[in-house]
Amino acid sequence: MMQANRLSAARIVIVDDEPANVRLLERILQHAGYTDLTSTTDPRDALALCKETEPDLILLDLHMPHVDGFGVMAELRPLIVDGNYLPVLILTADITPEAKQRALSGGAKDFLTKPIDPPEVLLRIKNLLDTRFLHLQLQNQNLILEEKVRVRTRELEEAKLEILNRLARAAEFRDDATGEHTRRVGETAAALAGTLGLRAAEVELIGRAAPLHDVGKIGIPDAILLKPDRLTVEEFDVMKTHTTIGAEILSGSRFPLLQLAQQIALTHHERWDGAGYPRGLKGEAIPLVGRIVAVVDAFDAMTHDRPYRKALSTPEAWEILWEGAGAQWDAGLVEALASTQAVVKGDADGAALSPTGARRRPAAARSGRR
Amino acid sequence: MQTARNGAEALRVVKTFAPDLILLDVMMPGQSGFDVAATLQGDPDTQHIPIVFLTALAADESKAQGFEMGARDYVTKPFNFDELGARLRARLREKRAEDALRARQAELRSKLVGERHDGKDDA
Repeated sequence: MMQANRLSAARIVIVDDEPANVRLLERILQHAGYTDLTSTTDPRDALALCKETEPDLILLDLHMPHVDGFGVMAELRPLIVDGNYLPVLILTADITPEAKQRALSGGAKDFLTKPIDPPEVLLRIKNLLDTRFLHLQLQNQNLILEEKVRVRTRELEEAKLEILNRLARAAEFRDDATGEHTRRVGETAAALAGTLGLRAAEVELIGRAAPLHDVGKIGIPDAILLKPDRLTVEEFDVMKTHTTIGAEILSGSRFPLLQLAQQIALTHHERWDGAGYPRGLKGEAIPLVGRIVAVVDAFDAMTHDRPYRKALSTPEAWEILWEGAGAQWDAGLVEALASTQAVVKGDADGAALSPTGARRRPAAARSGRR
Repeated sequence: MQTARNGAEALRVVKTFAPDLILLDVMMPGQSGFDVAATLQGDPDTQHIPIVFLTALAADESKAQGFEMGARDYVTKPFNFDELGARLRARLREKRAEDALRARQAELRSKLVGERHDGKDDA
């Protein structure tokens, strides 16, 4: 069943108060090819010895001073329970059925009476070690399989996220060839969600769903999407459909990540005051994730070059955000973004982020992004 | 629990009943218990069922042959009833632990099935 070399390398601990018995067992075992033997004549050392040597088998006497074999088995119980399968073979002069039964139900795997019969001792030792190694082999195979399943699961998860990112890049490739905007919106949305105190799992989900907010742009013609001038009313109506197209592309998924991405795609152009699109939702009727991405998307678009205008400076963008807080955007989220940015940038733009002094111009707030 | 009175009957009963443990005599009319054990060990359906020999054959050679046949225990007659019960319980505990490990292994393998592209069974 087992290779001889594995068997002979088995670690065996002998616990017997009688030195002559220990020597006899050692001779029998060595003669049979077992090399890794440890023994003690003091049962009080048994537990420490077993913890130190991590044996494959324990040969245990029953009648010993200080602690008898039953006491030793009770101490060893955590090591010899079935899950660990560390076999104990009792060797004793006590031939009563009661002793045998008590030993076997106390955790011993086998029981032999003294004077011992060397061939039978070796047979039973081999049998116990075979069973021990079978258990270990099964456990080991399961550990390997579990690791493979973990790796496979992680790879699938990574592949899913990578494909989503590439989908977002593909959709925005025409007006954001580097994918930097989608990446930044994901990161900033997650940071903002963190500032709001959302749970870590939600923060992560938002960070991964947010880059897909403009996936519907794949359905917008170049002439409109890339137009350097202001859009006509009709063109703008077409542009607005990137929200519903995105939601359509992402609809019907059973994955929470894509369900969230759909919600973001559909609602990231709604306005706090109800003047947004496509549905004209107002205030908290707009899902939180939609409101988060609305402010993050606008800030990022304003502070970077677009086909229709150059980037604004950070203070200029903040001025627009503070003006639009409570009208275009959820004011609480504008403030949260300010503290998020303050943390991220070490408050380098502290003056610009201050709500006071930046609200001088109640001009109609506009998103830097269409 | 089911009983069989000879080797051929034993093989039929084991196939249909799928026991957790087999208590097997050696000296029987027709096939010996060792023959029955060898047949069971060679069958993937029955090879994991622990066999405990219960026999009047007390010679070391017989015990050696019994364990060689894959027995998990070897008890000689006359036997003590309580001791036999304790031995069987110990073997059944082992069997349950092994079954749990095998079931887990089958579950893990099924998770990996279909996603393998190299065609190798490397687990």
